[in-house]
Amino acid sequence: MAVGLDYKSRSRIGEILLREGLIDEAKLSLALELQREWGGRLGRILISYGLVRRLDLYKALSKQLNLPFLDLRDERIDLEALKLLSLNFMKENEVIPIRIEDGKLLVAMTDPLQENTEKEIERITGLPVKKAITTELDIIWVLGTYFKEELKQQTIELLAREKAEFSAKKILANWQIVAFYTFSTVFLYLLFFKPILAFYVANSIVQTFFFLSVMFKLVLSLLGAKTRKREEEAGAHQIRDSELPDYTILIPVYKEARVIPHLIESIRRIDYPKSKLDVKILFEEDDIETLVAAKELKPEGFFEFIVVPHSFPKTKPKACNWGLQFARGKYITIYDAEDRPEPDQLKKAISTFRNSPLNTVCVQARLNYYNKYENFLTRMFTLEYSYWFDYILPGLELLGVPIPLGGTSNHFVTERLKEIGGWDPFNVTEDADLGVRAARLGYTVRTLDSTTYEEATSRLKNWINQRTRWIKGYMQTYAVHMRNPFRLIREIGLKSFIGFQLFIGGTPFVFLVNPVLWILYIVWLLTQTRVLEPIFPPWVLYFSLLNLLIGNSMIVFMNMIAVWRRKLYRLTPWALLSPFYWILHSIAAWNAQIQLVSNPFYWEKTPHGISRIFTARKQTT
Amino acid sequence: MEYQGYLQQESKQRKTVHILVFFSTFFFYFYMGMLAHEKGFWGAEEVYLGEKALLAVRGEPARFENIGLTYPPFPFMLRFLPAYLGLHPYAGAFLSSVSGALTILVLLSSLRKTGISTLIITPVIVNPLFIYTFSSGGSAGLFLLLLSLFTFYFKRFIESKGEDTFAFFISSLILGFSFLIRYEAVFFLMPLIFTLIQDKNRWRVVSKLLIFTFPSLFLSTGWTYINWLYKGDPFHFIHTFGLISFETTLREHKSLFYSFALAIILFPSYLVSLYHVARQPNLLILFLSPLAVALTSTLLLDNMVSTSYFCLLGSVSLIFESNLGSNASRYLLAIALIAGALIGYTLSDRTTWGEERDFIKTLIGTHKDERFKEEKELANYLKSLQGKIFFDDTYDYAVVFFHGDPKSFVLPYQMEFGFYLKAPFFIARYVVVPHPKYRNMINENNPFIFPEQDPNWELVEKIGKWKIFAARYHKD
Repeated sequence: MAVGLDYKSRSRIGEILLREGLIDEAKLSLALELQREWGGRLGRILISYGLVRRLDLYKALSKQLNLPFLDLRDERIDLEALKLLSLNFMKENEVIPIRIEDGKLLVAMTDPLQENTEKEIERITGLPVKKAITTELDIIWVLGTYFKEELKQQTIELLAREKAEFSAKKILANWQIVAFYTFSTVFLYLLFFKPILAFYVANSIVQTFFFLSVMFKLVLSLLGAKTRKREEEAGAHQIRDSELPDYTILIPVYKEARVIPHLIESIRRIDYPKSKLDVKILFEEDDIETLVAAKELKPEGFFEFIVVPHSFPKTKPKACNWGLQFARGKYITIYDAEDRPEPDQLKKAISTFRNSPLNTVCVQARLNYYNKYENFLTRMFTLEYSYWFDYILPGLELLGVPIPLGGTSNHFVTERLKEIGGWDPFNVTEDADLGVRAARLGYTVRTLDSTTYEEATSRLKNWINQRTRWIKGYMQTYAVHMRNPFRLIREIGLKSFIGFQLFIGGTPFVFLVNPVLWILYIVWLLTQTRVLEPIFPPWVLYFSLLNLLIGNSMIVFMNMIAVWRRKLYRLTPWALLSPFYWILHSIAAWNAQIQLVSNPFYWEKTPHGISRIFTARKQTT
Repeated sequence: MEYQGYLQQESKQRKTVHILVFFSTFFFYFYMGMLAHEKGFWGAEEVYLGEKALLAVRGEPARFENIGLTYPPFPFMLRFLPAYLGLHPYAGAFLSSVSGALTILVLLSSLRKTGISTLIITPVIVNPLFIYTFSSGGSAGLFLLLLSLFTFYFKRFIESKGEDTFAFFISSLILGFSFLIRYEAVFFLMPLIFTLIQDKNRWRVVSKLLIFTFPSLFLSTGWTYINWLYKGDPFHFIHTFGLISFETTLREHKSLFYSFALAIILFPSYLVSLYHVARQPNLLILFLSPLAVALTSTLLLDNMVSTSYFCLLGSVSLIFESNLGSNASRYLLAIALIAGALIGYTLSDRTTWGEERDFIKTLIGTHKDERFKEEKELANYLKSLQGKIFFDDTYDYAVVFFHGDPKSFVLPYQMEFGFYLKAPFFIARYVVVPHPKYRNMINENNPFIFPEQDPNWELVEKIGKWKIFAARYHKD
């Protein structure tokens, strides 16, 4: 992005805008003052603050540089000329070859002062360049229109093609399918001929894994509870605005017209030089309603609306990959439409990156909810998220075990994110998968002590759907990364491998197994039946009791302590109701298990904007 | 960077010191425990725990409930593996010594980094009551470790004004867990509730109380549930636990105050710290809680009149060392601890619980009587017999412990014991009965065996208070 001129000629673009009547003295002074504070280009500041329209600025710029301005949507673009440059070159340098005129290649570009780009084009094409100015939105539009299929391929197939071993396009490897059928056959054989032995073995394995999973979470919680505020985060405000780099924010939205005003407001509240923000709201092609709602709000110039072409799988990671292709920031993050990040989050993320090892690819902020007291579900969800993001993830970080990223507020170094292949569009928890993949490729993920507040799903059906997707995604992630267990050990080490088993594998496993254990226990308690005795020899019985009582109560206790740090004292008693909440988890886990076989890539979109907070706001409006 | 390097180096040095302290303290206490065994001292609780662990893992059938479900289960469970491996005679001293070494580490960590740390910690390590607690193989060592850890973290929580979540988390868990070691933990919990409710925010109080009491309540409930499951009585452990009667309390209260006075003489350091802590009301209840544990358990529990409980006073005086105002106070504390250790040796014969007295006197070489001498003799004799032995181990558990193979016996934990109690010769080749003045189920149900008037039984040996009979008509 290169709107405006460098410092020396800044006043000139200002003068032109003044002369044209597009800006007044007061606005120009404000922009100049901001430029002194933030650094960067005047034009960008003017656009980002909405002081001048993007189109007007570029037209002024064209007059200043005495170059033609091209509105690419009205321009005749020669397909042969387009083929002269590679798609990646055009994306990275924001240039479009339009046509050959008088033996010269007419090239529309956002920054005509980049001499290197001009020379590089001449070298590649062997033609002298005739420069013209256009906006970055026009560039994106041309690329999205003329290279739709290539971009779609890159968006969807890049990971599957270049790093097939990490893609969930094919979930199970052949040997995994063979192993699954072999184990199932052996188990069924035993069940038929030696049922007691079959139950005994299965029961013992289940109990041991359940126990280890719970103990691992206890260790993580203890470690997580030990984490303190980092100095580097506290020092975020010492970074001068002029030193801050461009930051891309991707916001995939779908059928969320109701939330759009909230979204725009939340992003505006971010404490970051607006001229350095590259906010891309990603709309699905068939979601006209949301796009119209967003356009009606006429947000400032740092918001860009990008339409993601329709294709399958229709998932959030696919939309994010589309946005990633046009990202201009050195860093990039994702927010959901209903998110409300703490204003200093981006600065804290940069400070953390600067103080982290060079192989740090991502810092994950904490997530929590603003509609916590709405009903039972939102209360329990808040307990769960407080535990997950405030204790479990910092615990994983301290232990050096791969961190499954949360759905939003994960901040990446853009280049490194591209290196590791972006998001997997076939994985329905692309975030969790990305954390593990990053670890496998030798990168580190850190946590960030800054919170993004979201809307907790307050309706049961939506909750079940959302949780089904999450658990299915964990199952997908587990299957994908376990295609070659030995390689996984080599790549992440034994400790992380065990952590992966207990955490990524253990989470859905515990949800699947928990109701079976409770049912067996309740049947025994009510009937005192002796039928179960053969499958519960003494040590298994003690172990089961330990798991059921100590294990479950331990998790209740960990949920209690979870909200202490956030001072959400009113939620503590609700932790006692966790067992009822787990029933819902188990329903979702079994649903996920079925869906993994029947509809593995189906993305259960969680509707937002249904919280009472939004309803109340709408009424006020 | 330089500063970070310095910090890293200092942390490495601290780790090395801690490892050295841990191993040297562990070997010291373990050596003391082994030395005491060699000189003939065995702690009653050590033997009791060891025997029940043997029954649980090597009994017939081997079952968890063989531990008796009267006393808290964790000290038994720790002995399961050694009992299974046949190492039960060493388990007590080993586990106590590990607890001791860890306790000393906790105390060392809580001291400020001053030149007099060694001067403060050494007299604690060699204090005779600490040696007894951490070498005699009972559960008091583990209990002391947990309560010291609890005090350490809970103090941190109070001092952080509720901000140190980890300290709160871990202290609540530790206190809950200590219920599985000794029931007296309840006396620690109750006074501290007053500390927690002094808060204007109602929801904060609710939250604190829930977090603080949940592990304790849950584990206690779990224990009553297990009692109900196996014994049909959720409060079996209370009904069988030795609570002292009010009458006895009145009779014994003189010795309580005597014990208390003795403890203060042994740990004058407590008074030194109290002087400073008294000026910090938010910490005072925590500081006084160990006293509450010691006094109430001595008042209510007949088998716990032990000054080893007062070791906790020594522990907390060190944990609160950082609250002492000046270096002079620290020197005073060190002098008080040294004096306490010296007094401990000179007053060892004044302690109210015989076992402590015997232990210390055994170590300093003035005690002549070997403990469980007759039980060992009987056990050795029984090892030479072929065939099942009908035996009531309710009070004579030491015999099974020293014998080492519970499968040779028919004991009260087995269904067969109750079934054949009136005619043991149907199942056992031998029966062992003590003199009728001792309580024994076999005597109560077969009053003619001991006087040798039962035609089914023939006397084969007399050892101490016991007679060993062989069945005349038993066929294996």
